[in-house]
Amino acid sequence: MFLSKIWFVLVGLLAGVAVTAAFVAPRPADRHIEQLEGQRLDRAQYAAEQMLKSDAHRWIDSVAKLGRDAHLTEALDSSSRGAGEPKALHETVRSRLKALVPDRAAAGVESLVAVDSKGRVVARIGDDEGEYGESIAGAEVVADALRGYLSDDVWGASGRLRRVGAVPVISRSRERIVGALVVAVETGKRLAEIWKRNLGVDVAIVLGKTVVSSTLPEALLGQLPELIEQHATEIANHKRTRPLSLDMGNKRMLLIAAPFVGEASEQRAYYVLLNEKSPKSDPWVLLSNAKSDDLRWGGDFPWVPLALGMLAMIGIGLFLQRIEVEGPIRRLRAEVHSLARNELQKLDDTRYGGKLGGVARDINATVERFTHAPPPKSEMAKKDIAAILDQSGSADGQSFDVSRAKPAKPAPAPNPASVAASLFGAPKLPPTVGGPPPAVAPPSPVAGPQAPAAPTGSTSRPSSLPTLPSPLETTSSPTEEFAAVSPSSLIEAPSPPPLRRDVTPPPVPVAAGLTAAFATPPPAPRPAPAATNEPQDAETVHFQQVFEEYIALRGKCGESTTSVSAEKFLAKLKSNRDQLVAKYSCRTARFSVYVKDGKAAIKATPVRS
Amino acid sequence: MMRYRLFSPLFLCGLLALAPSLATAATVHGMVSLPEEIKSGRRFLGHWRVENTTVAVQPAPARGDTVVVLVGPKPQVLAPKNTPVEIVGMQANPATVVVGEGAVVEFRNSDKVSHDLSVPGRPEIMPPERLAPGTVRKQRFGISGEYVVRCTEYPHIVISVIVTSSPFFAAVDEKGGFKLLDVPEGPATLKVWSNGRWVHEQAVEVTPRGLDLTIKVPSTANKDVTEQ
Repeated sequence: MFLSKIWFVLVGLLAGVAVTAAFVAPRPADRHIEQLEGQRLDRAQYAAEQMLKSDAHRWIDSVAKLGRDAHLTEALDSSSRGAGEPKALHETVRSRLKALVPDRAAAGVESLVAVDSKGRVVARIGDDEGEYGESIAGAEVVADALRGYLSDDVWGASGRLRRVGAVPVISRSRERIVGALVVAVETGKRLAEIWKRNLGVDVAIVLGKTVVSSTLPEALLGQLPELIEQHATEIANHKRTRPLSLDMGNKRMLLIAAPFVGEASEQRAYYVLLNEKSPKSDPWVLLSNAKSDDLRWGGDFPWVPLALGMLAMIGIGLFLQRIEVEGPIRRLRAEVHSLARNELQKLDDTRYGGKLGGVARDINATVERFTHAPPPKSEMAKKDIAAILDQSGSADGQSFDVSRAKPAKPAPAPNPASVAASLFGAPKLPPTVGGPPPAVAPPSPVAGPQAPAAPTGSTSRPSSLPTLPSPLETTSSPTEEFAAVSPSSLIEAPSPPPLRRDVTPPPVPVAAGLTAAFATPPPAPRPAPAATNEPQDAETVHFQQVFEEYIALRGKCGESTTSVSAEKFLAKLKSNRDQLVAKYSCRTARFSVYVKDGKAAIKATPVRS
Repeated sequence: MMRYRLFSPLFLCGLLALAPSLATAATVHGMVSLPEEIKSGRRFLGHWRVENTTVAVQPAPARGDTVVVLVGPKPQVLAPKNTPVEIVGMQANPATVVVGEGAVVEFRNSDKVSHDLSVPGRPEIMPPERLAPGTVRKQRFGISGEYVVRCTEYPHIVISVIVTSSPFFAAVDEKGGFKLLDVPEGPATLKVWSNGRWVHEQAVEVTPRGLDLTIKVPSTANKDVTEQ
């Protein structure tokens, strides 16, 4: 059993490891997937930054070409020199700008501003087209342009983000800077849509605590500015965040935020790239996502190793069961059968380990108990019948069936009549223990003298023999009682018992009493009554008559007649007669047969005269 | 003659009384060399900043945002007074003001757009408030310190307000020169404020002959100071 238990433990551990692996194994995969998704966002952010940079360069180039327009140059030069009417110059420059950029909205230009060398707005298209004359020289990108730089910036004014590029406008003589052109490009929904198409991720643009535009529903991004604000230091140091998780409704998003350059960086302007995270790969999700091809025979699924492994596990389990459980049980049964057949004195309990060894030792202890201790009365009655009817002790449901013998009560002592009645089929009478003796019937003329009076108490009968009114004298002395059978005489009955009084029978192994449970040896042949050497006196003749009547009655009742041994039957009758004579001081005893419950039975009646 | 006799002792007494102060007054002057990142004129850079290939690039104009302050020769008191700052053309003029404790700075918006001025992170000093075009906001600064007033809409607009008790300060001109007059003798600390922060600080000993300093502000934390 030890190896079987170890095997069960191993199988249980293996199952536990398998279940644990099923739940834990997806987690590294999840982390790896999240890492890959984060790397994808990293690449997308790098691409977005490059697009911003190239866009800025493109817009600077575009506006630089506009700055080489002769009409613009002349007008700005005039404004810078203070020549000409400002309004006229404004109209001239504005119309020229419109001519140069006919489809401003399609190009994504929000506004285009022309300033003179002092930074005063000469004209603009887009926002506030009618306004002119104010100075914007303080704007860094404008100041840079007026000093000769081509540069860009990002502004975040009035809740809008605008990418700005500015270039100097150089006089036709190419000697001095006469002004600058400033272009402001839309940085909102349009940019987000372009990025989503090009990068394959969702985009949100944040200015301060507001999401100014997004490809996702902005109502779901309410916590995005706060999340970014929590990573402001990280953004300042690394110019972007690491991949962050954001629960957006029922979606789990992964995002990277990076700041815009220029003045907008001071205004906490960020672009955020978002991607939906893959669902968590717990076993149920993995199973729900499995396809039929995943389990296809011949595919990647290791059917053969799995089947071989399972068969090996089952086989090992069965094998261990066989060598540790079934085999020992089979051997134990065989040994017990041998013990029952009297081929063994006791079981070899050292051959069995564990609980089977304990069972073997218990059986041996039981055998020891039956060998050295008196058996219960029901057992004695059974053995008595076995000794009478059959050498092997097979009662075979005869008229002396054990079921008719009532088990003796330990205390108070049972009435001997009950045992006798059970043995011989007499009608059961009320017990006399502790009570007055039953009324004594007049002696039967056939049976001889009247039976002695019943004893005054059961305490005077340590043998606990039952009392029974003689069935043969029910008409004269129905309460006649007599001793039935001594247990020791039954145990020591000869096998096969010779029909001689002076023969002391050898002891019978207790195991013989167990043969009813384990084996039924063939009945011994019934010897002929004539073969005995007993003198043919009246007693012997009576016994032979009783035997013949009993056999005949059994035949009438449809019971087997071959299993009753004449020698044992006669010996038993003599033994009973002797016991009755000794116990009741009567002269002899007479036996008669009758039918009880459809079976042959025998009654005994003491004869005093 | 009597009048002459009478005035002579008084004149001498006056000279004796003024003698110590006249004897200890000195001039501290020098040159401040700022790093390129400060002189560039850009606080917030974009992706590109390239020079044109036709005409020479002009240096950034001095906006008066570099100031030298001498602290601690002797206990002095700078009287508080109203100091105007005008925001025009999307820039503040002057960009740095040095005032005494309790002085009031008047911010005037001469632009056509509004400005939201405040001292970020110090609402108790100057909370955010929208300054409409053509209006003035008066703000008192009662505690010594340095305060950077910013415009939320246009972050490049930065106004530095230095509140100090020292009357010895001067703005650096376009070439980096400065001059402090009537500085008393003794040990003092010379500080340079530029671009919204202290960029240099050194201990000096003011002598009767005065000091001529050349201060080179390194681009990073390293400071190279040569005293002549």
